[in-house]
Amino acid sequence: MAVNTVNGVIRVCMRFTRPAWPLAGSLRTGSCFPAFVRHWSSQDVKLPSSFVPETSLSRPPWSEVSFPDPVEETQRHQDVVQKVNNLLATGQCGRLFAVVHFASRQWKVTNEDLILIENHIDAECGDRIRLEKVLLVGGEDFTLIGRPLLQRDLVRVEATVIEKTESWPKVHMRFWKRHRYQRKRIVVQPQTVLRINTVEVAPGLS
Amino acid sequence: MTSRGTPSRFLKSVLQNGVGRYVCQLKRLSLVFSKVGQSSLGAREYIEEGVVDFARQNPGIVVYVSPQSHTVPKLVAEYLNGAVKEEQIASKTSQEIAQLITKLTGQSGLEVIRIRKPIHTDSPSIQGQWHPFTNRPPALGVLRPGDRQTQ
Amino acid sequence: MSVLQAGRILSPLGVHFHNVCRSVLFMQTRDKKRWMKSYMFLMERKRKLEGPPPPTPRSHQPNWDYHAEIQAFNARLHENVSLDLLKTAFVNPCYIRSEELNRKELGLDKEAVALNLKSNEELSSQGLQFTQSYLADWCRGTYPSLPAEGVGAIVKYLCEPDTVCHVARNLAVEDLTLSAQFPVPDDVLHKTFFAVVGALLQSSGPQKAGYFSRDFLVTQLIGKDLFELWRVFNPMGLLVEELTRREISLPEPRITRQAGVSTVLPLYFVGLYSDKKLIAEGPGETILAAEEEAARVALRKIYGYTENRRPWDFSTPREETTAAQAIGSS
Repeated sequence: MAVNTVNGVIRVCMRFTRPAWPLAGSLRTGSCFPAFVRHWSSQDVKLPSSFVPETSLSRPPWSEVSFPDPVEETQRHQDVVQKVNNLLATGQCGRLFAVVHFASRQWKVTNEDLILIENHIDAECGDRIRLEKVLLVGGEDFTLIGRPLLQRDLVRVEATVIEKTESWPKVHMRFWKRHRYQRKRIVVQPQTVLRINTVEVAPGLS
Repeated sequence: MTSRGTPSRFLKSVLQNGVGRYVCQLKRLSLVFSKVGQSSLGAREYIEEGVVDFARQNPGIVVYVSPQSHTVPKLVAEYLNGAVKEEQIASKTSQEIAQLITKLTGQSGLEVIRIRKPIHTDSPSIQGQWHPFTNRPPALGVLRPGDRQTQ
Repeated sequence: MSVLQAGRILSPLGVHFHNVCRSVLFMQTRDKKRWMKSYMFLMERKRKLEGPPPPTPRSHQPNWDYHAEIQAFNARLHENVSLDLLKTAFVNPCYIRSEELNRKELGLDKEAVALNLKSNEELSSQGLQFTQSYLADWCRGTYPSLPAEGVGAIVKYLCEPDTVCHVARNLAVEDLTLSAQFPVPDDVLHKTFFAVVGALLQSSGPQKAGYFSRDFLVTQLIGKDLFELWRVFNPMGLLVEELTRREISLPEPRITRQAGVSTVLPLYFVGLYSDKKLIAEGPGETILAAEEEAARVALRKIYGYTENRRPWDFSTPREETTAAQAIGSS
């Protein structure tokens, strides 16, 4: 019974002191304990004057984050950039893929791919077009992620329009049972097939 | 008709068209019409106005214009992969026929059926395909916490 | 007059002259011809028994102008071959022989029988030789470490009748080919395609012919694996050979991962270590299969023919030609 009350008091005290701990590294709550509480506690449980038991709330739940040294960080960043630039300049990057935003969709494309667009494009068959909204380019050993897009002079994704056709007749049927209601609509929409020709990255990464 | 029950194919192209050079897939276009028929009025008009220009713009397509008496006018398009497509142009205006011919020129002769996926790729993975052992240290079998203690 | 003829023809079959006269020729009715039904059934049964009619070549169907077709073939492929050469390329020796035989049967004298057509044999052999050497050069240039056998296998795959006929059929070469038989046999089509390459070589030069065979033949390699084209029965032996030639220590196979060993679908991963460094890892259902797969992976890495290799460059000719056109026009 006594222990219970003591615990209750300590909990209350912790609630008082809580706003203080993000600032202070360690807990110092002993000084704000009222005298009578200390009296009660010293009778039943023998605690040192500045003791707070370790609970799940006494420390933030995430592990301690240590920020790296900014100088070291920039050095490492430059090293990585240098490495990727070297790879791109010497042409050892192998096959590249890109995520492009086109026709309100995102497509993961690489050389010699075909993509089908469910709409008309304002280009003739055989025309070469350039897909400019590139979100991501990756090779075997590296990935460049845009925030949200990569620069135009860094990446070049080109495609050829190889087919402009129509979709198969899709039947859109609306039917309400027992109500003598039915509507049938046959939808044929234009389609365009693109062939990706090149995914290139210029070695001007910074 | 449900879409599952319809015939379907995957996205493809004839002879990897567009990788090396683009080849127009329509090889031959025959325009069959009647010299007197009412329904070939638009076809006759198109022959007067547009056929020569079309043939000049597309030297790779052989255009045949063949009058046949008492026939329903039609367009017969033959594609490089051997497909033959007939389109009726009875009582269509010359603009409609021109549009239809443009559509036939742009097509590749593959069947117009449901296409299962909007993409086709021959190299699906560049950074390595995922499998259940990806990013796991090489180890034989499954190591449980108990195994280490017994060892 | 026609009535009399009909009567004369039909009378031996036992049909009475007057009957034919009255019912068929002079009474026109516009109702449903029920008497046709038995005839239609008969024809349908006949068609069913005989099967579909033999395919006719496009040149025997209406709307066919050979000269225009040849011109269009030229323009379609963006080439500029001289038309005479191109026409020669489509004339096969078997066609000349069969035509001469036909003429002889018609009873023409010997001078009239001889056709003044040149056959495509010479062009075909030239084209085949050029294509093979070009493809071999291309292979060696793209994959310098690929051995001669591998290069040979790739070139053989690209020049074999199956691949070439597939390309030729999808380029409308079959329609234009003049051959004795129809459908055109594979070997004739194969020769005709290379004759077209030969004609291109003679009139436009080796660069254009090279681009032609690259654009239409090399593209057939897309999506193909090296060992799909080149049958290697002992990849481990080949790997050992390659490593000894490069003076790298020999590979040691080790099981790196395994799963479901006691089940019907076991999975093993075998890694090949050379100098305690992992050079390749391959999966398989048995340890031996996994080891073989690992050896193949290692060979692909050595030859540079991995799945994520650098894609082939198909872009240069267009830019060069446009540049040349720009220079020519200015």
